[in-house]
Amino acid sequence: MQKIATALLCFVFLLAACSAQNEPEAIEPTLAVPVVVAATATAWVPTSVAPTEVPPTAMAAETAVSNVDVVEPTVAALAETAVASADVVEPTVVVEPTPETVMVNVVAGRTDEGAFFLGNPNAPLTVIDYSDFL
Amino acid sequence: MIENYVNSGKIKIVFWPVLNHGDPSVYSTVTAECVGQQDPLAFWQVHHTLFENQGSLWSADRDYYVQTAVAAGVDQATFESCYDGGTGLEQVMALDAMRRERGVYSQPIFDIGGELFAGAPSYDIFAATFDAALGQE
Repeated sequence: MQKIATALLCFVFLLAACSAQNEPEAIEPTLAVPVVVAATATAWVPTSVAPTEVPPTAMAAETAVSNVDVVEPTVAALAETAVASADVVEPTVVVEPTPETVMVNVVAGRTDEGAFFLGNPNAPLTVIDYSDFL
Repeated sequence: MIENYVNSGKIKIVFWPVLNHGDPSVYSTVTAECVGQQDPLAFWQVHHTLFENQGSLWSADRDYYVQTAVAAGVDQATFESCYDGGTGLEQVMALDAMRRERGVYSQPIFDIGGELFAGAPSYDIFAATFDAALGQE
């Protein structure tokens, strides 16, 4: 009788252990910052509060579209020769001039701050694209 | 956008670099900067090429960027002098610092007539936003 009780107890414990293993582990959400949905089907919501000219001082812009890891660039690395590492994968895309949209009577130049612009310097609307090539 | 808004003179597009991905961001942006120093129009050609080949930029080396510049038609020696000498880097870092001062920490962010918009929506949404901003002028 005692043996049966012991066997039953072991069986119960075994069942409990198996069911615990079968439960999927809770996956904690990894997104630590809220994602602002920038564009709906019908409207693109501005992120800034005041539609003013860009001031030279800090502007409050509560944006969190992408997780950003800001890494300070290494100045010395730019003067180095080609990367020689067994882990580096050579780019497979051949660098060729890609077909461009025909630009007619457009001007290309620099703004006073040094950023490159394209289009009528006196255009009624200026669009600044803050972007990373990556 | 080029055809409907730039060619027509309605908008002027400014590209403001954001260096948020370490060295690959720097290398690619300096490449565009050094090309643009010789020919601002060629800057936009390289701008297009770099975005079209974005996947390659993570592992692109110096030769890749030299090839990119040469393909855009600029002088190789002049480009290399800019790329290796630091003048391109200096300009790029200055612009990057300015955008931080303006509170821009992620990308892409579009300043359209003074209002900031996050993300890259469809052309239709861009057009609607441009039209709305132009209508307010």
